[in-house]
Amino acid sequence: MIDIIIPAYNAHETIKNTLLSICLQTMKEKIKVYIIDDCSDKDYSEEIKLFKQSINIEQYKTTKNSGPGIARQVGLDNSQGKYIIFMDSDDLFVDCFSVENLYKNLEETENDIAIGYVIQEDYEHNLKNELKEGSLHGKMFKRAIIDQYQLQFNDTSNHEDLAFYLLYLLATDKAIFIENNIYFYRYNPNSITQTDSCHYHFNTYGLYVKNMCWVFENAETRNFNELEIAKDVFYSLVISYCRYLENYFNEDVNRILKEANNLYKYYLKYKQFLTEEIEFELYNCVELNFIPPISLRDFIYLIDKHNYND
Amino acid sequence: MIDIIIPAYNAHKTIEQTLCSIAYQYIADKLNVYIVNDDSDKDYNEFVNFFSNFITIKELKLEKNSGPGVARQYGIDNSKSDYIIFMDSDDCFADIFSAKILYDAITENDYDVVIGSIAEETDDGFIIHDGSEVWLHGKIYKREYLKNNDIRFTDTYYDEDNAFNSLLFLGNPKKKIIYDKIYLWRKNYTSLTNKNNGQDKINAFTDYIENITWSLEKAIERNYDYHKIAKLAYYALLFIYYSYLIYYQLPVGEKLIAKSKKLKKITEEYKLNEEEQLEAMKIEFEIVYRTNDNRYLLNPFTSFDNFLNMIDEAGEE
Repeated sequence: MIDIIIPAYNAHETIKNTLLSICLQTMKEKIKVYIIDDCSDKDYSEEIKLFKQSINIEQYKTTKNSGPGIARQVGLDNSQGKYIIFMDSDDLFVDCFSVENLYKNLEETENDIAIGYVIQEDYEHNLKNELKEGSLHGKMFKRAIIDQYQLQFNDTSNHEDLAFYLLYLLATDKAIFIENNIYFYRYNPNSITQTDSCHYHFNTYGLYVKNMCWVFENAETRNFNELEIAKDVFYSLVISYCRYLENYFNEDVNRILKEANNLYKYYLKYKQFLTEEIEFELYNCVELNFIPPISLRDFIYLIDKHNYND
Repeated sequence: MIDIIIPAYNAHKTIEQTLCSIAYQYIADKLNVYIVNDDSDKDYNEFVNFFSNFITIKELKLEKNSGPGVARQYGIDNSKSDYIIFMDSDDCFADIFSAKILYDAITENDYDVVIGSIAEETDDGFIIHDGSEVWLHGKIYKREYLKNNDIRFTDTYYDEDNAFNSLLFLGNPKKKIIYDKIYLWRKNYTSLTNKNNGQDKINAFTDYIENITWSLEKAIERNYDYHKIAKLAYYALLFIYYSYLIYYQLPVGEKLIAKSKKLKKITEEYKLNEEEQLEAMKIEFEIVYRTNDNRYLLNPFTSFDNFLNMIDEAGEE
């Protein structure tokens, strides 16, 4: 009744520990694990053979290497459990109650998503725990919501998890936050999302915009709450503003303005739903540790002007 | 490196989770696991085979069933890493960092023992035991200290952990208390320590008295700190008194009194002052009151002084 979906690309070494941490769960009898092999060099039969005595586990395969989004979708399409947890093939549950804690907070309440703490390891092996709003980690989803609103993953190679998560939260606002550490996001030098952060953010900003637009588009066709969409739109501009500041001295910085223009279109449409208080609150979610050379207002103005010049 | 020693008697149903919680540790590469098979009906090969994929693990076998104390001692005698952690075959590490936290703490300042917190699972949630010197759970020991101070397990079936720790802490090791949850004491109603029938209660209490007396006698032999000895002996006697109040209807009552003679003699030689005695009564009462059916305690049918007299008057065993 609880499906754990793990997209895996050449993760044979690390996934064994992921599976071990599932094996540890107090609720393991009620868990079914789906490894979605995203066309790795070899399949996961060995790992499955190793664990099949302890946990209910099977593998599916993508037709071509398509990134974690599509792999997760294959997992969703081939599973039936009432609840869904997404894990990455190099991460682990923190303790034996991780799944039980998530489960109890959905099964015994009216909530549609349970959100726990994620312990994150950086490249120097420092650890910190936080509620990671932007990812799928440390959360439990309800299949009923995914089915009802036909939520899907898209095929972009980055931020597709954020897009799915945001769309899910637009579909339902019944979220419960759990005090416990649930998920350990292990540092993996080979992982695609953990390469040099600034550079990486700059290069993936285009994908971020693409995914946010995908969220707004999908939210619109499903008639999700306009104020909630408006908040996400404004917040995506705040994030863009941060990327702009980070790359302020980069000669390529105008690329950000150009990309941000796609978000700006939604802003024009949705700003009627926002108040100054809401905008202020969203702006305050980011912590700047320097005095910005331009303000958020100026930035939004620049996007508009940039558009004009094109 | 750290040796993790797990005495196991027919623990095939529960030990998988114990071993999982070890094998997925953040510092799994620093851990050696020893399952000490206390003459179980079958061996632990399947577990050794599976978990060797993740961790160094070995099964040691006892020729005849000898209880967890002997099994742990056998584990110590047949392993050699600098540090030792004891686990029971039905419990778990609290989370993925438990071993790392213990290891970091004990190596930070060359401690002899580090005491972490235990989360005891009950029907009404968890009871957290901070800084407990009673159980082996949630602690890491330096092998060199155990060896140099001849700290060993006794061969009783119950409470051998208490004897081990009592002697250890009477010897004044360099210790550190940390408040991270390290050990998850899972509820398991079939385990040795949770049995509730009469004969087991008797065995548990007589073993308790035997063990605590053993560790006090050893401590006296070794000229350990007078005050520490006095304190432990007095607290033990109080604990037995309260147990007597609760279980006097069972045959255990008489047995408790007969067994306590040596312990009482120790409290006469190693005395706490009156103020400390009152303090001890208060603390021990609160502990017993909190964890037991307490109607016997509020209006005791016999006083502590009477109880001591009864010990004096009781015949030799």
